[in-house]
Parts: sequence; C-alpha cells; structure tokens
Amino acid sequence: MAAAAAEATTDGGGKMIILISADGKRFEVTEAVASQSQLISNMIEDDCTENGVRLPNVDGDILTMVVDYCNMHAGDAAAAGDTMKASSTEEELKKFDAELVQALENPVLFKLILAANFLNIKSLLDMTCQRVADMMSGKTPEQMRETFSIENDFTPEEEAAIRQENAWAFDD
Amino acid sequence: MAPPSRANGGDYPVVAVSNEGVLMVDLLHEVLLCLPARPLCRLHAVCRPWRALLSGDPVFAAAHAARHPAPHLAVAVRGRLNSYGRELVDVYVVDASSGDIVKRACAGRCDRPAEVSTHGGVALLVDNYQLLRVLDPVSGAVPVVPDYKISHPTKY
Repeated sequence: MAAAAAEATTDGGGKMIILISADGKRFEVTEAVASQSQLISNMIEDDCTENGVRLPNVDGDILTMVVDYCNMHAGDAAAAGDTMKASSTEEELKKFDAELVQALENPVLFKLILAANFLNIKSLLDMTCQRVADMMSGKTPEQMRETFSIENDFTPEEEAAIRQENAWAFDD
Repeated sequence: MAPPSRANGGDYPVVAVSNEGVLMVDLLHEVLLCLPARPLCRLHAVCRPWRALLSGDPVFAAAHAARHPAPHLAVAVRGRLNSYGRELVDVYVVDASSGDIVKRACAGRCDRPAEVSTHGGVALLVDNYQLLRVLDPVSGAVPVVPDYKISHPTKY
C-alpha cells in the first residue's frame, strides 16, 4: 500500500480514481488520497478500480466529508509529496478535523463513523468515535438515554442498585 | 426473564439510536473504548445491553485496559460497616499519574487485608486468611474470581 501511495504522488503520474456514492454522486480523487481508505487501497492493489468504486452504503453528503478529509490528510500518507496538501501543517490539520466534526449532529456523525468503518480509514474512525465519546463523557444516564433514544429497561430498584454500586462515579 | 422490548424493534441489539442514525454494536464499542473508567461507570445505569457490555464482557474489558494503560495503584480502605456491623474493605484503584480515583470496589468482608497490589490490569487483595480476591478495575470492579485460597487449601 505504501508503494501504491508513492506511485500515485509522482508528478503527473498520479492515477485518478472515481468514487461513486449511493446516490450516484461521483468524486474524482488521486490514488494517494483514496488509498487512505484501506478498503480502496486493497482494491487498487488488486487492480479493480478502473470502472470507478461504487460505495452503495455511503451517501453523497457523507462521502463529500470523507473526500474532504482524505484530501486534507493526503500529506500524512505521502509525507514526501510536494503538493499543496502535503504542506498542510499539523495545526491546520487539527483545526480542520475539529471543524469537520464539531458542528455535526448525531445522525450525521454516526453516518460518518459508519462510512469511516466501512472504508476502513482508521484515523477518521478514531476521530469520530472520540468525538461521540467526548459528547458522552459529561452526561448522566438520563441524558444519555435522551440523546441516543435509548429505552430505560431497568426497574427503579435495579437502577438504584446499579447507581449505588457505581456511586463513586456519580460523586462530583 | 423476558428481554424488554426495544424502542427500535430491531433483531440485533442496537444500543444507540439517534433519529435515523444508528450506531452498530461494534462501533458503539469503539466509542465506549474511548471513555475513561469514571464516565464509563456512570453508563452502567443507562440500559441492560450497556450494562452487560460494561460489566460482563471480558473482551471489552481487555480492550479497554489495553487502550487506557495508565499505571494503577490499589489502595484498601477498612472501616465501613455493613448492616450487621461487620467491617468491610473497600478497594480504591488510583491512577498513579493523576491521582484520580478511577474505580472503587467493595471487596466484601475481608478481615485484615494483608496485601494489595495491581497487576496486569487487576487489583489483587490478599487477606490474613490467605484468601485471594481479584478485582477487575475496568468492568465495574466486581470480584471476577471467586474467593480463592492461595496457600492453605484446607484452612477455612
């Protein structure tokens, strides 16, 4: 896969790959950008990306974010590349990442997690999971149920017992 | 005990639902693995599937321990009495780098704890009767191994 990334970034020789979302939107990206997805990287190695890569479970709006992310992070994968992308500083990347997930509502964030998981882009998966975890960390069980539409299936007695058992975690 | 009906009516144990966005179990695990022990412990009280995952799943506990490898220190504190007036021993697991208490567990009646240590992600407690208790600091600090005599198998 490192070889694939290196090939793609050689000037002028970078092959383009078409990604096709569930709703038929097409995204043209370089191999270096696309191969941040382990799934696509494997497909590139197997030479089966010629007719475009169909992603039947990723919507266009989600794939837009994924492609933006991969474009921005292409420099990570090809550190030696001399493209504009590669010159993004670490700070710029952090800022970009934070802005990408900051404004997202849960349903969209979950779809992004699913897409990152399906495409196997570990850094994006880690980042989006961390974002959800950060949102969870300050919440009470009631707030969690509300946020995630979870039904409370404990009896009041059971819940009281569990809270008692974990009382130290509820102390402020 | 019949499992309670789920709001989403799904066939598989979907545990986090937010409008149309659904997080599959595997991915929920990924998210929960990012959380440190304390907020994780609060989530025991959310619903049964979450409790089962957080307090009863050794794979999850191991993955969490691997993700949060902070050195832990176990401290046994005596003095709390149960309803029969017998002294109980509480074990606190302390993050050695921050000083935060990451777990508190009741080791039950454990007369005169002789030794407490943390090893490989668990807290070990040995009392004067050579009873060994193993506490898992990740999965809700329940003793995970029943009382086990370490050197005097015939002695009670």
